Amino acid sequence: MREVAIIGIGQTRFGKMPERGFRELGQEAIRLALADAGIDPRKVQGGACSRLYIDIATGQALFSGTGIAGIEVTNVENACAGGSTAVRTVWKDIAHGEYDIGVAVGVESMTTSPIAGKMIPPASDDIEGQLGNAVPITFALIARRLMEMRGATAQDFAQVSVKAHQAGALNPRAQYRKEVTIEEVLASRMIADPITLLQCCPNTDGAAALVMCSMDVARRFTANPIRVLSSSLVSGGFSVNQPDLISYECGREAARRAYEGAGVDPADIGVVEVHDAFAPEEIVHYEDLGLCAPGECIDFLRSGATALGGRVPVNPSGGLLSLGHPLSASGVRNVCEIVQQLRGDAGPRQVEGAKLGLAQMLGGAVSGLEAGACCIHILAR
Amino acid sequence: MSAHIEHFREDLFRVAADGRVRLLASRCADCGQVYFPRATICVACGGSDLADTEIGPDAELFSFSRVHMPTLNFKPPYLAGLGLVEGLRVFAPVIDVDQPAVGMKLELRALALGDGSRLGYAFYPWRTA
Repeated sequence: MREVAIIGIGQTRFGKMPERGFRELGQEAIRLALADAGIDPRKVQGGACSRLYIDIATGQALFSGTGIAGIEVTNVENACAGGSTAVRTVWKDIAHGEYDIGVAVGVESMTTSPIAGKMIPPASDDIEGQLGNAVPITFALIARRLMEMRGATAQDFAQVSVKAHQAGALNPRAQYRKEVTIEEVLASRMIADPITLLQCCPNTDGAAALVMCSMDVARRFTANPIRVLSSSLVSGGFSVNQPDLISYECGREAARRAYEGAGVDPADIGVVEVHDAFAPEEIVHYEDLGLCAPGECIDFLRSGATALGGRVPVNPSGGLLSLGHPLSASGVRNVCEIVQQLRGDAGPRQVEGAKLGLAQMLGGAVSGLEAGACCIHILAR
Repeated sequence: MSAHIEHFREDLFRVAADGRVRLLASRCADCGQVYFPRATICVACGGSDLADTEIGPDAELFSFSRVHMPTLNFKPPYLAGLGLVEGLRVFAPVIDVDQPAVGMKLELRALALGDGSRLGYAFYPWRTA
């Protein structure tokens, strides 16, 4: 396999922008990434596009508008891990020598989607949906298990949101650029106890893209390529094999493969981005990623280790909670954030001295499975 | 009376004469793993010799959440729960429980869903009816 580098990143502002539509958003992200890489669109040889609530062949529509056509384009969907899966698709193609230069893009226009202003609905054949389940409730049930098994409190969950908004307030592309207090988070409308409104990610429009190439090609464009040390994608394990809700088999396995592929230890990672659709979820990922010892996720959170300025900041971008969550864009976006951090380009939210970073996304609810998929990339400067 | 309402899904559960609900499940002949809804393969051991069985009505509360948002068939507030039924996590609303606690004993009984035109099931306090 060839070593792969990221040489360009682009992200639109995230927010509610129904007037912009998916084409404008996706094409802006691609143009920004190409400009960041200093690459002519005609040099792009392959691409992958992640989207869920948009037309057929979305990738072709986006790429053609930016001057890219007649190349290999793959459209992917993997729920919230879709963006990461697009990144992995291009990474694999380049690593295995299919082509040298590719673009991964993720886009979602939630405000113009069929579910605009609504919750992500359960699948139509979903038994639990008929009996009163919904996405925030599944995370509330996880939160309750964290309280039972790890001694978590409502304040701990609120702290995750406080931490996300502290970082997001420093991110010019975030949907919510406002700090919140624990009291404000706890006093916001109760959704599914213990999860309050300010512990839920919003519906968001936005896009992100990145340019990847083989390392030998990367040197032609930049002196500071960000290396992709590993990429892993693992589908969810069977629910009957998941003893409790506070750990995902696919999360642990994707992490194991990513660390092994990169030849690094969790303790080496300096900055992390994870899927935090609901505040309690972030805490689950601490243990599955090996950022702290099993059983110690709550002490780890309370120590401040995962806040900006801590030992291993998690979601310095603001995360889905503050930045917003255009479903299929987030997995590309959080790889872009790690690139920015490793370049030392993240401005006031910069994690000082980060040499290794990890981007993770968990996605999807599938009957009989713990989750849809977990996808992880480990990057190095 | 609930016996006259159509079940929200066929082949999912049975309301016994005592009003309590038995879930229509499968049990692996090789390793004993239980599946609900019914399954044709055992993903725990790889076995394919599964026999029909019934589980419930007894359950133990595993996790719960007081829900304050409307969902498909429910108006808030209501209590949602995961109950362990023969070790299997089963989702259902929890009815007539004011002070939920992990580990409390519950039982499955029928519950009319939404506008009352279809029958589902829910967890209720253990042996109170």
